[in-house]
Amino acid sequence: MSPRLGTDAVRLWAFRIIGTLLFAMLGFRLFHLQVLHSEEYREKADSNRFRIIEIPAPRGAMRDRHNRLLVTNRPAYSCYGVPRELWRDKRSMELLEQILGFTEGFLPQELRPNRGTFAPVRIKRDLSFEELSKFEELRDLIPGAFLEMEQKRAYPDRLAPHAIGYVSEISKEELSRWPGLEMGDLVGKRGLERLHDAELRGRNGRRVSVVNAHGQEVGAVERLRRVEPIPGRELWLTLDLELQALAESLLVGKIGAIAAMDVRTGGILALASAPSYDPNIFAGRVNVSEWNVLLEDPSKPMLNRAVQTMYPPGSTIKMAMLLEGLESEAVTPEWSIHCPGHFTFGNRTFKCWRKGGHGRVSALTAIEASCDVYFYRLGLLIGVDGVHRAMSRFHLGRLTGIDQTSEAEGLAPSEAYYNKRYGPRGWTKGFILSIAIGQGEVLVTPVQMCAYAAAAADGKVWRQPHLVRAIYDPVTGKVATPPPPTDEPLNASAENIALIREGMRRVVWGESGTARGQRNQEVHIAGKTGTAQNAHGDDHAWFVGFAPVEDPIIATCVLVEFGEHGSSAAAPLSNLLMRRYVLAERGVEPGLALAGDSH
Amino acid sequence: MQRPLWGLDLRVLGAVIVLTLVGLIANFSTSFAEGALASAHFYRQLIWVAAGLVIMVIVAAVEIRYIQLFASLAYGLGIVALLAVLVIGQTQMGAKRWINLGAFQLQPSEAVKITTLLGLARLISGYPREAGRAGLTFAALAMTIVPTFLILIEPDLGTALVFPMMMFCMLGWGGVPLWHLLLIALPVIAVITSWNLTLHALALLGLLVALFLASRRWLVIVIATVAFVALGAATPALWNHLHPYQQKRLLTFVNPEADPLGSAYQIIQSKIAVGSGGMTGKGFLSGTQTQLKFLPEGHTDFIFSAWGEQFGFLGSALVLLLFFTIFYQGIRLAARCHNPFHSLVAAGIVSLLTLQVLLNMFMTVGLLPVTGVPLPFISYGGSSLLTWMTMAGLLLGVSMRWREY
Repeated sequence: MSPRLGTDAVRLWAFRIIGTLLFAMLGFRLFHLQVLHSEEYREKADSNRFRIIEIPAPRGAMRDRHNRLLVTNRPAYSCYGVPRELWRDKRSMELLEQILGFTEGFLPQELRPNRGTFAPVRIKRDLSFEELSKFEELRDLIPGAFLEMEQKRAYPDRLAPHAIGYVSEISKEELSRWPGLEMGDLVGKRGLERLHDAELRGRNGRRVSVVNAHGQEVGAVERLRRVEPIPGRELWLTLDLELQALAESLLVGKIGAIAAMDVRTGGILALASAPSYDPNIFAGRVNVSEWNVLLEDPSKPMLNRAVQTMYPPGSTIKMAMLLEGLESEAVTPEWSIHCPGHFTFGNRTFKCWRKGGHGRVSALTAIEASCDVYFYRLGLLIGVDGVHRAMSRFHLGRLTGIDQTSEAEGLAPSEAYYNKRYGPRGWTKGFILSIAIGQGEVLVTPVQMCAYAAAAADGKVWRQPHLVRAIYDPVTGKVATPPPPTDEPLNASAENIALIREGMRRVVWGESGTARGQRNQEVHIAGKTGTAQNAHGDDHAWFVGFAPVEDPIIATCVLVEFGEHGSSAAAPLSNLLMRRYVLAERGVEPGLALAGDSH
Repeated sequence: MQRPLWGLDLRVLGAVIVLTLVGLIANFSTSFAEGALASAHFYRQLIWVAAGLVIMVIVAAVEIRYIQLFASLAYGLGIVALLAVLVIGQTQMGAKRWINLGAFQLQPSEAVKITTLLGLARLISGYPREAGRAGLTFAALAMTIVPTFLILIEPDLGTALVFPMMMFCMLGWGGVPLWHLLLIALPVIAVITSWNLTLHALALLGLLVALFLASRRWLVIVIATVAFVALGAATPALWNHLHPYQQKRLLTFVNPEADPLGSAYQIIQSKIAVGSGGMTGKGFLSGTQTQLKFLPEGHTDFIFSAWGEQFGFLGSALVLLLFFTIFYQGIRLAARCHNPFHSLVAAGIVSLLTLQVLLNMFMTVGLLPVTGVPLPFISYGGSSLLTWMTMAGLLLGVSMRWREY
């Protein structure tokens, strides 16, 4: 017998077959990975090595009516991190927390969901100079983090924060509603930033670089893959930078709103609300504590009182009432009443604001001296629906459609409204007495009142107030005009219009006018004072007006909460604004003209 | 004897030389990834390749009779070296595997592969054929358990596992009865199937049937049943004795997505490297996974992935073919050897080589957990390379002397 081992054929073949099968399996597996599925793995390898960084598009600027910058951008640095890399080195994460001023444990919590990925995540926006220099100093210890230059909103004069609105990071809810946006994108939240977000935003670009496993860039080899950002379009506004600044300064220390409008176009020249806030709070990252202070402030500085708050108009409504009375022929210009200082209706007595009464009052004097008794009588003649028509003619108690967010509608009550609210028998004709003088349930916004004054000044058309005059595309150089505002004819005879305008002139220039103090010879203004009764404190002061009387170009509305008297608290502000504007339009240095005659 | 080069297996020699070249190219690329050969591990590998070729020639020239003479002694020295590691070894990354020799670090567990192999070959070949084989099996088990245990506590699970597998193959080749092999495999099957009761029961049933057919002894059946059930029940306790990182590796293998940062990351990146190589590869030094260091352990455990990424399916198939050549020729050689010791040495080397190649490559393509077994002739590392060059020398030596009795 041969002493050789392993010649046993069974064992030899067992070794051969098992070994060959295992090698074949391996070969098959390699074929599977490298031939059948190689494309899939090639993509995975690419997603490992390519880092795609969004290049944020510069958001469109906003300019005033003379193309002066109101909102622009300036560079800011954001800190990005590669989650996998940071996660792997806990100490670098702690260091980064210290540099950026996060509490310990913040980053692990933030990055946990992405801890296995190479895709960079923005960790903090708008680093301060101190944070930047600390980061630069220690960057070698934190290979998983890097800086990217981005743009942030800048407000050279900090003007018109309410009208402009602000941008901040997109919320989850907005993300689901607006396709094409990603987490971390900045979007407009309020005001013009919100309404024109799509135009202002532009389109982000992309930069592709090659990174190694430690997240370090080893080169931007893929030049071809770079996609340049498309800058957002600019909004060219009707606002006047100087007038806006004046309006805001006039409201400092007050609560209220100012709207100024170009009578000929409906373009808003100034839109101010007080108290106000510094828009730079929102420019980069939102400082949580400052944000909370703003939100919890009982005087609501974020509220745009010119557009979003409703007040009873008080006596400023009287031109609308008179015009309706004349148009419906309920009264004539000559029709007069006797005002003893009060009016009795049923078993109740309604007072005129002037205790001693106005004596004999006709249409013109009713406006000039703001006689309440005249309008009680007129209200009874035109009825509740007459009041509704009177207001509707001037879009009072209706949305103006101004290009602002959350516009308040106001209220122009009608019989249908009262029937619905109190039941058909639940109210009496007596209700009409308060609404006829702009008190009670009548509610308007300052911007509605401004458009009303502008319509009265124009005499033919109610013009829709608006802020955007053009949208400029810096890429193509094309200037697009927004859809034309929906202007509406007033449907009133020229004589009747002339009458109420004369009434408004006499408010300032008549011998018993309520705003006699606002006379100045350079710029003749006209207007109407008003005092809105306020159940919560002192009355609100109104003034609506236009200038110059001869050929009006500007209309204004001033509302000062708790200002008590329109003649003293509101009319002077309106006067200053209109005089400044008209003089500037005439090319006269306004500062000099101001000094002379302040009554 | 007059013509010692007669029968020298040129295919094995060629395969070994090409594989070391492949190793050098792969090491150059992974070394290059670390920045213009900064780590210089390529140069060290170059030195070892040169030294290894010399050792291969010397070993091939040595008469195997002398080697046989000193086989038991070599085995003993191997055990001493392993004990020395545990006493004076260097601790790196939580494991004591290296002895510091100044310029070099020696990893005795690699060399012990040779000494244990020789010891086993000596044992099996020298065992009287007339005697019952039970004694042989027990002796082989005892000889293997010692180095396995010593390496296991270093700890180095991957290397330790290779020893019982090699013993299993050598016993099989040496001609112990099939039921011995079944009994040796029994604990492994019992542990692996213990996670699922049905599977466990089915495996037991199959094993018992096979055991009965092979042995026809009721006592064996009873012992096997008791051992199988006991091991199945004890596995959870055994599990708790594993190092957390070993547990993690095994768990990760079952569900690689569970831990994309740890060992699953290595497997995922390795598969990406290999798969993205495609048919012809990305080209020398153009492997993004390798050059940008997404591939971990690119010069040791995962060097095949670096190769596969750069040279694609064709390159991978070449390596596979080279190893298969050694396997095929080696088995053929072992089968025709006249001397049982020669035959067992050849079979042992081929088994060990095939086991390590398959363990490593199946790992890199994501079919086995990360065991930490280097790829023979190719992975970076002096201890491993010199060990395999010695093995190659032995195999070539056997090929020249297959006619000897």
